[in-house]
Amino acid sequence: MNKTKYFALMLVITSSPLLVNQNAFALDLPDKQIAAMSKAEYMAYKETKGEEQRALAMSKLPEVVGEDILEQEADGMYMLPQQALDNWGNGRMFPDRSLVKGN
Amino acid sequence: MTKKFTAITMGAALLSCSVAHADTILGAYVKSDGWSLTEIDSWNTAANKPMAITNLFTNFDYNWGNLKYQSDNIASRGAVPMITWMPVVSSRPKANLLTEIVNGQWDTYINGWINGFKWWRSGVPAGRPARIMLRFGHEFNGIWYPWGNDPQNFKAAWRYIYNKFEVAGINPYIDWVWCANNSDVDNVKDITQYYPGDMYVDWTSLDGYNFGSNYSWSTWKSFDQTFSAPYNKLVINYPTKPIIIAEVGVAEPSDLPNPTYGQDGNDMDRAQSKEAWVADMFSRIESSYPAIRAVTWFNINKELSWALHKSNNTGLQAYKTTTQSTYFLNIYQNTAK
Repeated sequence: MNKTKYFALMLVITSSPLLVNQNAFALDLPDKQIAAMSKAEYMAYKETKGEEQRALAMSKLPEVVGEDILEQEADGMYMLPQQALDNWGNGRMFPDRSLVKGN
Repeated sequence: MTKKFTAITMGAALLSCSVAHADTILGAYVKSDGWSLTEIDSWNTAANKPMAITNLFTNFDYNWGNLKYQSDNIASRGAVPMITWMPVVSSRPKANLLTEIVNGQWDTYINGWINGFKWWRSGVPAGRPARIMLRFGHEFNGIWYPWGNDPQNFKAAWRYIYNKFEVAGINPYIDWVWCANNSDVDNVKDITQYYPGDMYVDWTSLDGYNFGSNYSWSTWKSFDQTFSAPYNKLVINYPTKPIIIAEVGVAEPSDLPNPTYGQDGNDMDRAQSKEAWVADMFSRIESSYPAIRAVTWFNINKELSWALHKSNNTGLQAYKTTTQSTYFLNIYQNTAK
């Protein structure tokens, strides 16, 4: 692919609202503000955020349902054969290295 | 100095105001762990709202030589990488590295990781997200990972790494995600025993799946049955922390038990609806789970058909419809800090 085609393609890709999350580009602002804070200011800022979250979280709680189901599942998972657990776990722990750049 | 402080205080207040109401950020795990833009774009197109968080799995075999490529891909689409960082290496897949971490045996690797992160951050173009969520040692209350079922060493290793990051000055750009399995498949039966402390954690988190009837001990269960009990436990114990559902997936009702993963159930769930499950999930989050500030769908067909938009999957229409609500965001807010 020549350079003109490459840049035309990139323009199309990066212009598509469905592919690129344009809204998230506003993120630099908080990072810059955080970087400008002293440690004490930063800790106070975090505390404020925490208190807001507390008020939000405690405003309502869902009714608890399904505890018996989760207990039954936990017992079942605990008793799974080691090979089944390994097959499950290894599939997450060791991502497909064929995708690693350079392989 | 006074002017600067006032400006910062006002800025912080403005930022705080922007998250004073409930909302939930959308994200996903997609095939290829960020290596393939095609996979990321495929989800973003199908979902109709681009991801603001993209989950990827990595372990102690990997450094920022790899992660830079993955994170650049994710950031290029306007999302924040959620790096699921697993303390394990492929040469010793059964080894629990937690005590080795605390004993300093992984310092060279961790220091390299820190320097790599700084290097990556310095190269992110202006205007793109240059921060990460870091989900270290997830599902610690399960017995399937080498770091599981070991609360004291888990907490010690977490604090050890956090403190190294603190000294390096990178924690303001990292959101630490403490992620439990939704049920306690361990000998401890109390996730609070694994909690390293408020100052070390930015987000609490849950993983939970609806296995349908594919195991002899599982049944088709609703979002409430999957998450209400552990959610309340998180809120009551850690009310100041936003919650992310870091992995959630639902089997297809048409799935048949797969013996490779020990599935010994049946097809009794065939008449269930994944579309209805997904619609109910987002409806319940919006109406009754205000502490859930982010959700990342586990969008891959693996042990069961968890995904929403691959061939033979259902649930996408409900996802697209329910997440059109302005309650669900495709922008990553610094909810935790």
